[in-house]
Amino acid sequence: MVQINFALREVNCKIVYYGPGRSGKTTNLEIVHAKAPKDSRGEMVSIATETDRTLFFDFLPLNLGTVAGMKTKFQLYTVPGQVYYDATRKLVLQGADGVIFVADSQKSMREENIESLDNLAKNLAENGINISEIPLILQWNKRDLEDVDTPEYLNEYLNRYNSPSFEAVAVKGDGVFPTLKSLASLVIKQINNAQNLESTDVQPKLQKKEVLPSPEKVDGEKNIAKTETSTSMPPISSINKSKVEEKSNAEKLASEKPPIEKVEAGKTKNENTEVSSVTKIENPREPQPNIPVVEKDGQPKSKKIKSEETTIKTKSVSPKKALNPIAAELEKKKAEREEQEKQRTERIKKNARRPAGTTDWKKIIILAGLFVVILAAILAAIYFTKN
Amino acid sequence: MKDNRLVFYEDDIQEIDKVLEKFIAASQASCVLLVDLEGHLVTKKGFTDKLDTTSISALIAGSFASTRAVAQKLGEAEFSVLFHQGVNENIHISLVADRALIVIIFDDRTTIGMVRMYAEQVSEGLKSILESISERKNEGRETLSSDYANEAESQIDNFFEEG
Repeated sequence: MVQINFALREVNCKIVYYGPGRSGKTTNLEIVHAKAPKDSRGEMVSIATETDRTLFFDFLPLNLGTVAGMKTKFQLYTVPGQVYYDATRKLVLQGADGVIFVADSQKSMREENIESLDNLAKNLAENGINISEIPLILQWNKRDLEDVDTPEYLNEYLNRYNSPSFEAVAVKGDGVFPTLKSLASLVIKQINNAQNLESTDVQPKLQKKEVLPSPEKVDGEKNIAKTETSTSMPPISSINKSKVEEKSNAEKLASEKPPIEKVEAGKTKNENTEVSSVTKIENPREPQPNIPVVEKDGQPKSKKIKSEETTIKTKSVSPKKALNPIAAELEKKKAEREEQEKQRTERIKKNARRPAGTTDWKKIIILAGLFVVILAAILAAIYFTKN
Repeated sequence: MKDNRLVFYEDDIQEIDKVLEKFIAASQASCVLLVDLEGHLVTKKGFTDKLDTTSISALIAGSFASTRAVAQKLGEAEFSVLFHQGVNENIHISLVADRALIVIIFDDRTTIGMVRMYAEQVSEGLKSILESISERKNEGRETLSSDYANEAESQIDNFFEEG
């Protein structure tokens, strides 16, 4: 929730970096911290585990400067990416004004990317925010690694909300600023639109949180609604303009598209992309020396757009189209998991203790019999020893 | 998204500041911060010059949110008062009108009992102010300049070019 404080002459916005574990969210923040002018950034705070995995959040205040007499500040947060910390992620998303989704471009991370995006939609909805309304930017990180998906393919399977997307190599600082810049613009536009709409309205009560319908439910209408009402997303005209290019790209992609690999749950993650610890804020993590540096030569040239230093793609992918073979595969896996879970519960039920009040006569008879036999044996032994 | 903002005007802050000043005089606390639930500082009073109030606000809001989640797991709506004890400094945090946190930082010049007692009073005072802010209409009041978005856009361009 944007806070406009006319006494302090400040506008405060909250931006959250979201994405699967080890996708580079904290690295993004460290690069922003390292590159931003010293007088414009505050201290970076990182609540991390001993092994430098984000435990709660990383926090970096950024001061954009005075805009129309108001100091405009962005507070950047990252969430812990590990599945285990879902409750924490939900807390960090509270009151977010914009989200940067950092996806790991590696083919082996497809399942994690999709799960994390689904999780983002769910957690936003639980915080009363509709994912199709909030400013959202996608970042395809780790472009320098081998075995990565093409940006077009990433767009196809992850860009469900026609969000602008950027390529990045966060450990080297590439694409970090353009991503944040684009989101900052969207957030400011959002504030301006709200300003124009408001003026006579009653202020919100934080208490009254309206839980929006789940993203799956609104999926069908979302695209139409967004292009009609939301100005935070690219206007229809711009989407149409780029359609011609997209079409040719899509055709190209169809011929180039890599065969969809079977997404496996227990795949290995590329550990090399992780960077060392940050708690000391003035010493951002350095990339490890053994990072396999692969130049972008392998990537198709169509991903580059001349007007920007990095790529901005606005693909009009319909939600149904986003449900590509990978999603189908995931659905299948989900069903399998549910089935296994069902069997497990049944097994547990079977093995569960007999409810109180019922008597197991079979057991009692066996025990009594056993007791009689033992007693007889003892008596016999005594009798024979005496004689 | 028009309802997605929280606006404080100068007279709101003046009114809040008066209550906080009275509290500091009575309780002998070092300083007091009013922080919204998203972690943005609303106002501060007392000796705050050496404090990184921005980070403190964000961390305390996070801490409160996490404690609230724990409370809900135990069937409580929230733990409305938190207290952190240190060797020299202590922090007392309480929720006001379910929209802001009063963060009181104090040392051995006062006691937890005093702070707690006055905190309850200040909480009542701020509750009515915050509720009136949330219920009023902002018709005819100061708004962001119409140039705000354009100026911000060019500021963003400069900022990210410099970096």
